[in-house]
Amino acid sequence: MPVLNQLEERIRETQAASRHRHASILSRFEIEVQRIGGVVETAAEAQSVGSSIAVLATARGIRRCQTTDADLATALNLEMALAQAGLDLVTGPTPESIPGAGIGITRAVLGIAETGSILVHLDEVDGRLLSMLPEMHVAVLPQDAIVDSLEEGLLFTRYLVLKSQARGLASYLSWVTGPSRTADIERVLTIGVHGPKELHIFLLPSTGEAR
Amino acid sequence: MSRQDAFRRRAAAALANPRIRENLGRFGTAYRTARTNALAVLDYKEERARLRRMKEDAVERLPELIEQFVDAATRVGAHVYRAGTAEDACRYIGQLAKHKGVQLAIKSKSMVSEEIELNRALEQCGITPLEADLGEWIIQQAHDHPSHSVMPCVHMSKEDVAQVFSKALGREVPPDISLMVRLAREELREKFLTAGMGISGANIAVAETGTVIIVTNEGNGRLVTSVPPIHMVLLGYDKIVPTIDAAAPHLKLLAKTATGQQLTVYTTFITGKTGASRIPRPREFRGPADGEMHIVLLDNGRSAMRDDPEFKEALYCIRCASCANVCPTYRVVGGHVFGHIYTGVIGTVITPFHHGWDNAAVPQEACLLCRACFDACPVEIDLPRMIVAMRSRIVAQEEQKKETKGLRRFFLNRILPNPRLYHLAVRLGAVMQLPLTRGRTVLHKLPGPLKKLTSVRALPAVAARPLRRRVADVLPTRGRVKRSVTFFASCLIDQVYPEIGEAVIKVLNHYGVTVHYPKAQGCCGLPAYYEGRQDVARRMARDLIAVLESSPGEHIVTATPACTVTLKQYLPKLVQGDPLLEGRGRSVAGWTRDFSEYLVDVLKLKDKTLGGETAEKIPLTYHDSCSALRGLGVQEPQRHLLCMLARYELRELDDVGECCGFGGHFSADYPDVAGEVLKQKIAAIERTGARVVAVDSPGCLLQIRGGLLKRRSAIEVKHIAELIAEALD
Repeated sequence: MPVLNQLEERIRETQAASRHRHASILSRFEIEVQRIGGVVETAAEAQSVGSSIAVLATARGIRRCQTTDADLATALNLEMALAQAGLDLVTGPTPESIPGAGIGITRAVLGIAETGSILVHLDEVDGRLLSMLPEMHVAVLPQDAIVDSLEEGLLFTRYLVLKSQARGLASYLSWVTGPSRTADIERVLTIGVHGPKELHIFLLPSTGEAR
Repeated sequence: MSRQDAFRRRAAAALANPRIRENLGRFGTAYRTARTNALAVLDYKEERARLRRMKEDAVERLPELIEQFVDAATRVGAHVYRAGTAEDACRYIGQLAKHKGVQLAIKSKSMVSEEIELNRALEQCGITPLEADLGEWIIQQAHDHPSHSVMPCVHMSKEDVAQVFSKALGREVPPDISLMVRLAREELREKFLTAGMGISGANIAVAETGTVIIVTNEGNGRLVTSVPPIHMVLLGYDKIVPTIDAAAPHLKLLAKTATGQQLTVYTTFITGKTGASRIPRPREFRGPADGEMHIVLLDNGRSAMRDDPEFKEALYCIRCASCANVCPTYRVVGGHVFGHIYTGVIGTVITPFHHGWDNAAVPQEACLLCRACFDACPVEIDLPRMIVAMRSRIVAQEEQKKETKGLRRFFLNRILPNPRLYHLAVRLGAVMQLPLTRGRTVLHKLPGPLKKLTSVRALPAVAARPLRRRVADVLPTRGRVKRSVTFFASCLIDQVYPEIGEAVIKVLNHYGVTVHYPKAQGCCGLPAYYEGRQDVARRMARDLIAVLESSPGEHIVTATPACTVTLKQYLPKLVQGDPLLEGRGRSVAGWTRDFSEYLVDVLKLKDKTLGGETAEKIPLTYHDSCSALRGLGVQEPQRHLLCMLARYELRELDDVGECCGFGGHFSADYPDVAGEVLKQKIAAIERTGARVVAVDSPGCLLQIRGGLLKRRSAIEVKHIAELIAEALD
């Protein structure tokens, strides 16, 4: 796949070119996410995210959290943190428990600073529903996986789609830019129609195990 | 009842409903601010040029891209069905749904679905279609049609919506927006699980990977494409681009121009079907166990559009609805009147291709040709040009069927192009109006069937002596001769406002310009051109070129920007390809300047003080004519000149650029619509506190002065030439 190789090369180049601007890209990302009604929190380490999620759930009276997979739960130390707070955890996309999950916890593979978007790449449909159906979507994103522009984001998206396509696989990627919203009635902005009412992004240290 | 009467009746009904106007007015104002803010982060001109190039390239390569898309989508297991017509698409989807045992199909927003009237077709197959987009759901529950392609129920107030909710849910729902949104979420959650098929549109499709890109805000798009086992995509094939990253300019501008967001909340890239959800479903669920993706690739007039050089660029549309949002007519009557199924300006332009000329012929008349849509279009689609092209085809069709209205046709074909006959006719009018005017210069009320023409504006009387009888053929400057010009007077200045013409001559003479006024000149041909009578306009252009080029002026000056646009832009186009006229037409265009432009750019009249100061400056506002602002792109010289006037203080309108509703024959054909547009203009004028409105166009002067007189307002309306002439006294 010469196209894939070329894309990989281009992505590497843009990454190298923007490395020295990492701090400004990061802060642009944080500002944009907040502007569209999302929340960004920097985690000192992946293991501390579990207790932060427990706090979020407790504050909202949410009883159950669910992750896309068991590895993610382990990386974020969710089991212990939620158990201590007396909350339920489902690890993995068990379909029966999705309708009752108050917080869906997923990975994000990329952040796009220009638009404050995160790229959620979940081909497994029930895991994906965890970013759609619960009242709150929590995504974890390694902080070195943030690109500056929409163009770079699309380049990366194209790369991922082509990679699946090369193996004959279908794929489903979403750029999530803040919580679900509508302005269909009198153009009044209202949050949380069909999708999550809250979007909470945890930025993990660069060598985050959750990646 | 003729089509035209039916249309007028719909327009009248919309005008009689103040709520539509209130809702659209509120939306229009908020939209402008949001859009301006969103676009502030980029170079709009550069970005829209980039999008334009991307769409041009994609549409050019369409046949090749379609093949590539079908191949790529098929490779990841999607089924692609190429539908030639709406019936074809509906039949395929209905049969497939039936075959798969589907009873409920849940939908995210798709304009193609509206285009092919899919809901009706599904119902006929015994399948229940359910809209999941909040706006579309409200419209569906109300048994209504979307009046806007981005905000389907923009014409409804929250009280209207609450009534729809109450009826749909069978209990009293108060007009509380966040409550209604919550109720919709609850109501529809269960339905996502029950539906066997999810139907979505596609904003973009990607040839390289077979991907469909869907943008939504509410999140229903992702649910529709993930929860039900079957995902059905409705794809107009004009949406195909080569690669995912080629879509960058499209995604960059769509949300900014459509809703004033930087990006929509969910931008989803779907490539094939990634399996079926195993989420527990209600007992009523009917559908297959395995996941499937079907793509209906629809032509339905698109290839005809692509093959038509005059309408090809309509395929570049990204459905942001900016053209509707800034359209004065749309904002007064709404999309149920202005448009067919596709609404607004682009909707009207593409209707002939999707739904036939019969459904487009009348709504297109409601276009004022103010060009606001052209400026607002993020793909630089020349909508006004296409409206004129439509008119010319409609005229040709009517001529064939001998349907044209006799008197109008006679006037345009025989009288207007013949300056002598035309002036004779106007003079006849000047005599015939006497019983009505009884010597006054203003007509407040016209009798009988003409009453409507004076319902919101007073009309000026035809001048007792036209300009051509008041002044000589050559009007030399008294000082040192610096320059000479040929004055193209325009019908309105010659026959109705000769005092403006006298002011123009006085100002030019004052600054050392000798004015030549060839009396053989007639109308510039714009009325014929805008009515789609290019043949007549071409004849008039030929005669006009001969008159203007034989006059010795170094420049041609007009004080009527609509005529300036004709001379500079339409006239050379009309004689294009005629070896005897082409070059001469270009010369005439090149010599022509609008009055303000001539004073500032050619005579270098700048940074002076004109006239004596007054103790207190008089507040004055300036109304941009559509022709100067958007037609010629001239807005600075007028302001330069006005700022030089010592007596006045310029206060800008807060609606800068909005049309006054004149639009030539538009305000005569649709006086009610024009009147509503005028009311909004007058309200903006009154907000400035100005005592004088300056204009650069006698058409705007007629409209605005007429409206102010009707309201017995003391605000005066004057042409810039008159204001400068006064200052020179």
